[in-house]
Amino acid sequence: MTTRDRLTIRLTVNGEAHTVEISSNLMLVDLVRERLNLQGTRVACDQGACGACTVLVDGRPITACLSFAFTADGAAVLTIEGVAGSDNTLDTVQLAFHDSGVPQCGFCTPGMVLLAKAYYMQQPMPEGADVERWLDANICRCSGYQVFRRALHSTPPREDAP
Amino acid sequence: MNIRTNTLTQVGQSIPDVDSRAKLTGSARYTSDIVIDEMLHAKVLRSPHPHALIRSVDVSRALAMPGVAAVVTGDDLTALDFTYGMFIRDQPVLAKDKVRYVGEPIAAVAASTEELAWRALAEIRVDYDVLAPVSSIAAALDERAPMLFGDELHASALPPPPPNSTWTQEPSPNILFDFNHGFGDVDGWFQRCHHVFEDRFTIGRQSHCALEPHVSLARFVADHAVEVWSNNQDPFLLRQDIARIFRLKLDDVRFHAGLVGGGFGSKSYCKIEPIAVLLARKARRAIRLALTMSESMMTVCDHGAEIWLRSGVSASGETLVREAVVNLDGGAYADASPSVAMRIGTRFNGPYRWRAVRSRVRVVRTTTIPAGSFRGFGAGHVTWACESQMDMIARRLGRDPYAIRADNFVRLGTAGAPGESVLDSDLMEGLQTVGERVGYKSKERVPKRGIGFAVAVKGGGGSHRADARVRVWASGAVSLAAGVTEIGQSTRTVLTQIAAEVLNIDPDRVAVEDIDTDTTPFDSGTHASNGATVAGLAVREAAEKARVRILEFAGGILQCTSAELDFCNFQVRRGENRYLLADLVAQRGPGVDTMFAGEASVQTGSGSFFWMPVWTAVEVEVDAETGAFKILRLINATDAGRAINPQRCVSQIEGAAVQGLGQALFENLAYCEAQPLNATPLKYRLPRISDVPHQFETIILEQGHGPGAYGVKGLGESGNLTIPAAIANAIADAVGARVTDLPITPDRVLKALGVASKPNTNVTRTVEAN
Amino acid sequence: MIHAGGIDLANRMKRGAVPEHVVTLGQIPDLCGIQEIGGRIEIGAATRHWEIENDPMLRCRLPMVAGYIAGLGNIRIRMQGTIGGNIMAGEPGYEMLPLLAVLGADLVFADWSTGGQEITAAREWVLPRASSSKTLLLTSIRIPLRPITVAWNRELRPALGLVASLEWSGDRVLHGAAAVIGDHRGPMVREHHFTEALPAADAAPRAANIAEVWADKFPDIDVLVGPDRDYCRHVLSVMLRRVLHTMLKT
Ligand SMILES: Cc1cc2nc3c(=O)[nH]c(=O)nc-3n(C[C@H](O)[C@H](O)[C@H](O)COP(=O)(O)OP(=O)(O)OC[C@H]3O[C@@H](n4cnc5c(N)ncnc54)[C@H](O)[C@@H]3O)c2cc1C
Ligand code: FES
Ligand code: FES
Repeated sequence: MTTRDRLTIRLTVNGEAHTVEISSNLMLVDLVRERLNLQGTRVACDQGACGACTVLVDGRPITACLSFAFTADGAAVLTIEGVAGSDNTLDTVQLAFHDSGVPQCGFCTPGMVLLAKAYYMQQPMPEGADVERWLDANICRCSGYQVFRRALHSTPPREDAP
Repeated sequence: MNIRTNTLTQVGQSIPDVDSRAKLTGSARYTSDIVIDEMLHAKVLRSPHPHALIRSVDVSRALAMPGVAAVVTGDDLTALDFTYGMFIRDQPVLAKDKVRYVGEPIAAVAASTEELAWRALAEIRVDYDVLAPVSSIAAALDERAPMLFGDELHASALPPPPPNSTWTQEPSPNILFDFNHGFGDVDGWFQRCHHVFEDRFTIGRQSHCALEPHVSLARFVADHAVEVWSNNQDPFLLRQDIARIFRLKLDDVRFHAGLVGGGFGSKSYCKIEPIAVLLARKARRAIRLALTMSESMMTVCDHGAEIWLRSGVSASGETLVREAVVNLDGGAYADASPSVAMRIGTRFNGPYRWRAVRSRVRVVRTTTIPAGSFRGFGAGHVTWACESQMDMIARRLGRDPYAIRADNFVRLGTAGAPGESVLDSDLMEGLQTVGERVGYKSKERVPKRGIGFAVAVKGGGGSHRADARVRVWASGAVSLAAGVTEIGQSTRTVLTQIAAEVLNIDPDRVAVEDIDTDTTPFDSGTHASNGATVAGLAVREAAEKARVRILEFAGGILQCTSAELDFCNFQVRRGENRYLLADLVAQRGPGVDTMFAGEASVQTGSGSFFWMPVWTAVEVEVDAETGAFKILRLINATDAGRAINPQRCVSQIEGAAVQGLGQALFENLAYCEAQPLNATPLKYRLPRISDVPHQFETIILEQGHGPGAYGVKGLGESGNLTIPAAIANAIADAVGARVTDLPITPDRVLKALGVASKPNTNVTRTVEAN
Repeated sequence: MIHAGGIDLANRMKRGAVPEHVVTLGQIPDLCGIQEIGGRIEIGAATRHWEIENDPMLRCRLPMVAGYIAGLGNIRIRMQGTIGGNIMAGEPGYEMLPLLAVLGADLVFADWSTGGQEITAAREWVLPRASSSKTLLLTSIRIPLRPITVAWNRELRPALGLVASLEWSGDRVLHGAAAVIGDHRGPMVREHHFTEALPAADAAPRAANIAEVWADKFPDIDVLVGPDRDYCRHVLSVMLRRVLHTMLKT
């Protein structure tokens, strides 16, 4: 295809099916933020370095600022808006982050939530510090990261989200 | 000594950030999320040259592109008061005639999409006469150096010098500012002291790298009235800048500020806002100018520096006299450099008692990114040099670095220097705390491992005005307005807790208003860790006034004095009786206001309103073959006075510590011949979780001496200051290698090991308590 | 332009590259996956790092390769990036080529214009100029299964790293290959032949000497942002000795 081609892709985002016409050079993060109006996904470095734009594509943490939207054709995308329950109850990772006081400026937070969530989805039996090897992908400039350890190690995510 | 008063219900509670849920679920909105109908997208053309004359800028091809609405260049500035800068206004909104660093804005395009704006930039032709760059402090001070500016002084609004100080603005074209400070008989004491030590230190440049890049939106609502949204922490200062630059009336400029995605100093004072306004005026449309993170990195950074310290001590190591000479790399434009220079120049006494101190701080102009404010406002520079040297002095005298500090500390309630406000913290308590936690005295020595300390105090909260308004609705809601920008420091949460404490209500009932300079009470800017302390006082007073009004109103209805009444959970209490405020209001019938407001204003004096101390202990293990080292343990303590929200205090200190860790280990904007090498996120290394030691503890002391509400004082800038020096000191303790340049890279450690006189210059850890 | 994981492609387009055509490899099953064929492992060029590091067969046959890849970049990058993209991006700091070089791997290319196949040793591979690379499609990577141990040192990254291998005959070391990792201009692979096949027990005490001689074979290393040449040379020999120790122990 040429980079100015228009194409039609089908995907589900947070469980909702979408058919969208896009240009082939549209980035996944722009599809999500601008076309689907899901502004919770953040753009910070726009180069793949920080992970603020992390979304899950078929359960994998994907750098939305570096992924072309067409690669999500046929995929199930999860953005931060789809993580909490329909009545806005926090999911286990969100709750662990909330209880430990993770968000500071909050700009890295959606990406961090999704990254940690992807880890627990991939590793049904998580091992101690292993989640840290995943969290190493994303930058938080405000915290000293220790708060993520407190949230995810000492308090493993609670299953009984109220 | 920790003070706790049991009657407090909100103060001291670690409630989550009031925006925590919104931030966790993606519903939080930042300036970068704002969409205005019909807005255009702007992009900035930046200089590829560090130093060049602009012969011509041809925008015709860009303008001819369909979808391009306007292009602005230096030519559009002529009728404006077009320069800005915190105290010295030398930075043009867009380069005019000359560029002075790689990345300097030359022109800006407004187009229907961002992509189109990018493409239009490529169509602008600029003709340059390339000049020789001035890439370093040494290059700038060379007499044959090219000049960045002519001889004339720029417009300025410098405050009077602090006590015992003088300054000169732009003494020569490549020197922006020359600051001199001193007290006591420096020369006399140098003659009288037993030992004099002279050392030189350097500091690389750190980049702020807040995750949300700079963004501004602007639209004219009438020919002479503009509305601006910017993720800047100084909406009220910016209102003045925009009014001055565009020759508008102050009340015709309206700034909005909501949640800001981090700043660390990069989002204070005027930055890209005038470009957005200029384009909005020319295009007659709303403009959104969003920088990339690379562009943000090119907008402002911290100061590189070289620092000479000459310190004289008595035979026993009593600190007597010090002289400091500092050259700061201010980059191409002033930004906040004069202010940073003044803070640096007045802080060389640090946490110790000196008889005489003299300092000279010069800000040098180079053709590099303008340097501005960075968390600590220069206190990190001072601390790197002073706390390294304190250790070096101790080791040279064969004294314990811990004990020599303890001996010389400024005492609680005394002034560290003539004219300074008295210290509101017990420094010994903090040192003992981190010393015990790290096991300084008790631990067996292990080869290649060492422990280092560093201590600093930074002043905060001076010359600040903060107003606040608290409105209580009988229906059960409270709205709080203050001009402190929420930038991740949890100001909204802390102010909420203070209001809830006064009003005896659940913090959930309080909503903090976003900032709108038309309606929000004034604040002179989110700086110097003053939010909780200064605005906190204003909020407490405003809430108190609202409470008094409620009780007076209730007293009128219940026919008693307000002294007999209490207010709690939107109920008025009189003895055992409880009356819902809403019911009392309803009793009065229609026509009665259902809202009770209180307003307050707090102005602090010119000295430090409070002192932020920080104590750090670090244990490292050095690989003597490669110079690489591991941080085994990092213990950081500070004094919050009173922690309104201990969890949020810990967040601040932990985050600052890791920013200090990055500065210590690898963060550095590198240049080659005035071309930036790594001013882009893929190349500039930031700390990640794997860089942070597992044994990383933060201790919040509550000594109770703060001047704020409930004894609080600020702490946001303290946690990073001491980390680099503590690490260097620990390395010296481990293997005898002394690194005096930041960052402390393995090659520098190895080099220092090569010149280390003895492989391990251990001193006895005496821990002499005093 | 070929789009594999798209990481570098996207970043280059953001920096102004406007490729006319993009061919995406994601849908071509032949280019994905890992197989053992004959005496070698064959990895499809469009296989993602994450799939390689978690491939059960590879983890069993070449566990150190899986381990090395698991330390590359970060989880986001490994889930999206491909082995072929890492090689063909031609970025000096990328780590796949040094590994493949010391494994003695081959790169298998299809030439679109001729339909033919070209095989190049990874250690010989230098990215051709943009103009000539147009027609080359990397289809797979072949790693010979030989009695080999691999070790690496990334303690000083991103400035400098090292990956090395030793080939064995029984308990004797025959020869080794070492490659420098880092943001400098390659190629930087040097071999070391052990004059007589040395049993591990005899080689270990001589590791320091061997490392010094071996390190001397490397040219000067100029890191973009980082330590000077002298330091690089010094730590190169330290790292070599350390990886030698690791390999001789196993
Ligand atoms: C933040 C970050 C950190 C990183 N850290 C590391 C690290 O620590 N170590 C490391 O090694 N790498 C690192 N990388 C690089 C990463 O591994 C590569 O970007 C990735 O492997 C490229 O794969 P891709 O499939 O996405 O490449 P693409 O972008 O799809 O392709 C890259 C280039 O190769 C060409 N190409 C791709 N496949 C083929 C093919 N089969 N035949 C011919 N040409 C082809 C493309 O046309 C393009 O020019 C990092 C990248 C980022 C963004
Ligand atoms: S914004 Fe996508 S990785 Fe930083
Ligand atoms: S909370 Fe600000 S970057 Fe993580």
